[in-house]
Amino acid sequence: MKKINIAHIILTLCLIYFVFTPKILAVDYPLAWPGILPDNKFYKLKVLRNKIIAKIIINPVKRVEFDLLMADKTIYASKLLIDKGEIALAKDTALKGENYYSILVQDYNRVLLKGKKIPESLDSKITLAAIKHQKVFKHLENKVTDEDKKTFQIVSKFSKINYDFIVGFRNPK
Amino acid sequence: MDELISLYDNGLIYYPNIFFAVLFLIGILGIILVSIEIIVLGKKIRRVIEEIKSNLKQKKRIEKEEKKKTSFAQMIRVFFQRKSILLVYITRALTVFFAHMVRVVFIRINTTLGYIESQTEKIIKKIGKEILIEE
Repeated sequence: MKKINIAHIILTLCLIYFVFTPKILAVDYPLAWPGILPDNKFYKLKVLRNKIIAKIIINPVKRVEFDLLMADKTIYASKLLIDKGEIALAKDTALKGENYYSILVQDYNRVLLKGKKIPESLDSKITLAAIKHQKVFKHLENKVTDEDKKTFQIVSKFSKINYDFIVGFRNPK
Repeated sequence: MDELISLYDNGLIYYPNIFFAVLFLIGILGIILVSIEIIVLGKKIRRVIEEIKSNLKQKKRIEKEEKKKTSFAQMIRVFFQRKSILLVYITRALTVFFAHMVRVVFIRINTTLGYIESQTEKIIKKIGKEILIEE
């Protein structure tokens, strides 16, 4: 009897461990390739193009998808800039990337207020993306000096707050 | 409709450069088509305007000819009317004139005859006197 109880406890502990904690550690979510980086001359054109696209998307669910894609691309661009050694620009880009994610939160809320459903695949992508972003920010924190770490810590906090908002929208009290 | 919208949104999100390139090409095509259409329309309008102008000219010509014809006929009519009036007056005047002339001629003839008569009387008287003297 004792053996069974111990096995039960171990199993439940394992379940709890695999359900809650390991997600952050083992996220298989590839970020989209950003293409032109912000240090490029033509990046402003790209930003303009993206602003136009954001305004002419019709379906609000697709707008959420677009925001997620933009956030992924911008955060990945920040990582690439760090690899290039352009830390100041990388910090700005990371902030902008997380800003895209906060826009996503607003659009997500709008979709829910309109009474539309967000597809499960997109919903899980949003969750995975938030976890991946936090992971990337942590990785970037480790790559930069102490002075620059603060920005990435702040961005990581923003990311957590944004994700909390998303969770709040999913499970309204 | 929803499928079309989702297709449009997907194209916009995942293939933005292709989307804008297609949009650009469509825009250029549209501009070319519109410009061709404008040129063709311009030609058509020109043709129509030329036709209208030629029609107007023809009409004006016809009107002028008709006017000319009518004026000529009126002129002739007036002329004949006037001529007839003139003829009447002229004939009247001529008859009066001839009558007067005849009258004058007769008077003249009468006076000359009178003169001749008196002269012959005188001559006869002279001859008679001379005969008497010779006798």
